[in-house]
Amino acid sequence: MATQPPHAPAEDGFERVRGGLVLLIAASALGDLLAMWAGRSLLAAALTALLLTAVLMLGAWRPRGGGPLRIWYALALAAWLLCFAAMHWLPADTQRLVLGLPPATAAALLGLWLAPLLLVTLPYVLHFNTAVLDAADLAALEAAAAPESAARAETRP
Amino acid sequence: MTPTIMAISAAYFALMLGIGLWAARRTRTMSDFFVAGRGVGMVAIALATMSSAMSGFLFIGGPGIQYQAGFGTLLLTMPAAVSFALAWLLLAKRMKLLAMARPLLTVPDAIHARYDSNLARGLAAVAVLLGVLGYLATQTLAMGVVLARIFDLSLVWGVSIGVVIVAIYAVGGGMIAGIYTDVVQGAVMVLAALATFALALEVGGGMGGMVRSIAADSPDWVGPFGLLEPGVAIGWYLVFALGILGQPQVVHKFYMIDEVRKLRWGPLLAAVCAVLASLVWLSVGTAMRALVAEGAEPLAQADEAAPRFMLEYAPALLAGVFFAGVAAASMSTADSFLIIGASALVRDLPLAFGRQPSEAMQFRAGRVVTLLLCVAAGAIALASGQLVAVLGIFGWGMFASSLAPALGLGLNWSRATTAGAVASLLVGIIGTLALELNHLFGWLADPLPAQLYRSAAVFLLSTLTFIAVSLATPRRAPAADVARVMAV
Repeated sequence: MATQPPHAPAEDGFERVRGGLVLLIAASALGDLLAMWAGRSLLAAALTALLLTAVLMLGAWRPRGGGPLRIWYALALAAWLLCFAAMHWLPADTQRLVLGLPPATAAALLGLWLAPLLLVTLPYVLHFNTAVLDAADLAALEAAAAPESAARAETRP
Repeated sequence: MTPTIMAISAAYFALMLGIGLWAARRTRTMSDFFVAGRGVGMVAIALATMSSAMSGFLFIGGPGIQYQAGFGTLLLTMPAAVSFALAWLLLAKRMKLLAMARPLLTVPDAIHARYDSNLARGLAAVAVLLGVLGYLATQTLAMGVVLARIFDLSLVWGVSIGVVIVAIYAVGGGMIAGIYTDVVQGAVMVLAALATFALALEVGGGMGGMVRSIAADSPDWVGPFGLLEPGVAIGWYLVFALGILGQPQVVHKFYMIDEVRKLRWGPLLAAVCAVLASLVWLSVGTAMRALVAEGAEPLAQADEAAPRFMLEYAPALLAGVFFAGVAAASMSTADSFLIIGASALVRDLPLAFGRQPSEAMQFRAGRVVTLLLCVAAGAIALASGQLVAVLGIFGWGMFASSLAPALGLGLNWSRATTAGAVASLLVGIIGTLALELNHLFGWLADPLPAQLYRSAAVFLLSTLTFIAVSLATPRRAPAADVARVMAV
């Protein structure tokens, strides 16, 4: 009986998760298109947030799992949903100002400028060496680069 | 314009030309010309990516539409807080690794490596060319308008001088010149934006004071969606966040970084710089609208918001740096697009048709085609009037709709197929062209409702097509080296 390579189940699981994330992307994209068409802007905003999060998860998912980035991206999704809800529901008049802006507008600035910077971009830097490109990845990359390097060396005068 | 502004601008252009001449001496091979010899550091990549993604639109178009339509327009620039992380997370590592395993120079090269299809490569090259033409024409016109304004020239002379300067450093220095002029440009953009932000708050009497003045005149303007349909603003956010995955002027730079470990800090640096630079958009558009609400003469054209604010309220030194920065932003962005367009013509299309031009041939032809594209961009900018604006609008949308699914999702999903990539490329190219041209010429009644941003519709449709066709067609494993890179 042929033996299964030890990493095969993990890779199958890895591809299954990625496949699932792609289906989530498709479902969010379809829902987003229909919601925008129907003029349901809050629903469209929520599905946009879900679509963005699914794409981020797809990029972050590794053969060993989602790592710490998935927690950050779940928080980012929550921040996007809260922000889009606040943009629709908070007062947009000038009776009371936050940061010199109507509360709904201030929510947009905090939720769409500051929150993604702190919850998506900063974690990429913080977890780069463990969740984006670790020592095993670098070894794999050297193996991938070897044939090309050899070919270049052969053609060098 | 005052002599101070003219002198600062002249010095700035001399600096750009100096960088171009320095770069020309370092440009000896095809790899130098198209991907800056793959030896660029992290700070340079981050700043160049930021400045080529934002371009001169940030300083002129941004405050202009903010003046016209309010705070909702910021949803065009707010995606920068997340989009650079998206590009780095989904593509940077994989494109750099692919370029280490194979001799890749262009975005269509990456599409070909992933799908092993000359048809997909050819369609990607067509999408790149169409988008590049749109961007080039608008950047050339913006450059000409600003030069004409600074030196009190006619538009024809402004465009001509701009084209000559860009041609000198692009033809000679290729992408090395493009990267390093972008770096200077990016740094100037951030510094000028911070100084302008502080000035605008002072002139306007603080954000709260400006907002109250504007709200008395137009209450909706200060709301989170401004005068826009909320659905349109959400569509902008979507397309400008995810669309970065198909922007060749951004993702092409991942080939150029000298060491893969240096990818770590890039998105944070690019995003912080982009957010800081966007303060110009937020503050100048608001200040001008408040000044008009308080009795200043309304602007004849919304795009006059930033130039008028700088001329009337800024010290000459800051105004000089601002105007020179805008012209140089357009020039450096145009330069990057010239090289990308030239590579599509001299490398990607011949390869798609089964030809294999030599490296020396690509290098020589690249320079000639860059020069021809420069001249063509100037002619299109001067001749096409309103069409230029449409071309510029669809530039980002074309790249997003046609390239982002096949590249961004395709390099992260092994089930993606060649048929899926080809179908989504076709939907992106045809959908964008059809909707934008129909909107311009009014051939048919607009098929989309007003609250649906056209590029968002095509982008979502193209993404759905990519996934559905991939699932409906037989799985074919990518090549072993590509599969290895995709699993990292």
